[in-house]
Amino acid sequence: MSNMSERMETTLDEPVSVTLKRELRNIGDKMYKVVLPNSKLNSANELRNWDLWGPLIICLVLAIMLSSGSASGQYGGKGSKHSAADQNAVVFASVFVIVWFGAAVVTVNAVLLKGSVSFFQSICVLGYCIFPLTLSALVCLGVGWSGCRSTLCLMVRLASVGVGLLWSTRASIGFLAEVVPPKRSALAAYPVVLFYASIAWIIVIRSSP
Amino acid sequence: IIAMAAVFSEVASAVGAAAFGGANQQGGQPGEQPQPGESIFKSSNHPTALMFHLGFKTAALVVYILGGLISSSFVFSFVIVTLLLAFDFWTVKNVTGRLLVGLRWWNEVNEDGTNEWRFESREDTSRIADIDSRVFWLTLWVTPLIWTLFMVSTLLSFNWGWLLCTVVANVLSAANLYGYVRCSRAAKDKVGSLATSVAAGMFTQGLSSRFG
Repeated sequence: MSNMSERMETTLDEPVSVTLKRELRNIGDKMYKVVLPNSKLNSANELRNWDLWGPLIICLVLAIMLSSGSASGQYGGKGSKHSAADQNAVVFASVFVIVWFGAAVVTVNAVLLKGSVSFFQSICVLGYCIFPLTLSALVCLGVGWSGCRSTLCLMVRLASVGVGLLWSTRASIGFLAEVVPPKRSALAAYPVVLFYASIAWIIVIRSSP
Repeated sequence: IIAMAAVFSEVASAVGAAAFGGANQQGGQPGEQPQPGESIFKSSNHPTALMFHLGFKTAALVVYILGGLISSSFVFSFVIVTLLLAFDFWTVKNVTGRLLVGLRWWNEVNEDGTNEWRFESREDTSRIADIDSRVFWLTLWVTPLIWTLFMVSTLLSFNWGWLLCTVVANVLSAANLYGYVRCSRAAKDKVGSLATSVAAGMFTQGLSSRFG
């Protein structure tokens, strides 16, 4: 108990810069862990200190990229009911909702499968694991903006999204396998794959020139 | 934004003084009662923290309200409001709660995966300025109410994009409110049990000095 109260006093009185630095280091460590899923550096401790900053930033970046996608050119134009700006707003809001509610649904599923996982921790991991897909979206947008419609470009886009999907799924399933009973691991993994696949699909659609 | 924050805080302090005036007149309190018209930042122990506490909230509200006028892009306004809300949430949870009222709450995940919510409070309350505490609690209660009003208005006007924004704002400010209310309740319980034990000790001491 005294140990706890010492620790409590420390965090109550620490200067703001220490708080900031600690949070930033936390976020950096988690990104590193997602980028290199095989590294076992402090894996248990990192994941226990969940935070939702990473998922928020990643989600916002992804939503901004997708809502500015060049696919809006297809729907805009005279006589079109929805202007490009409306399309962008819809896509932005949809991506935002899909990411957060999708993560929540996958988490609830994992919890219902008697997994010993905390709600926010799981959302944190799922959110961070969207990062590879964000990189794929960047690649796809780059290809889309260049305007090339050849099959090669299509292949490049599909390949980058595929790689991102596999990477994301691998990173998050690694986490989920630890916390869900082994017999149910496939049941827990399926919604995760679905979640990332739907995001990947949106990326492919929105980045077509 | 700073000017708006100052105006907002003047209004808040005036309302607070009217509502709770006369309740805390005991001497020895750091941070005197602010005179009407005097800047509240002078009587606060942590003026910077107070400014940020009010600043992010006011900025988020202002950008939300003027969203249509500032920029034609919904995405841009939404992102700015969301980021401001997130900064506000983090600041109130980690910085201003600590500095202004000595309370803190967080969540810990144990080894076996279960999670626990922890609420801590500062034992010694004499360093907490009166004005800090008033402004803190007033804004903490008022912010979710304002965002709920906006949420209802976007719901009624079927404005789904901004509805999402107000829902996010509501969730964040309500979470902070709930956490700090739990914190202060835990603190009161602690003080209550402490006071009981101190009173019991004094009672027995008085008895023994009488008969000793």
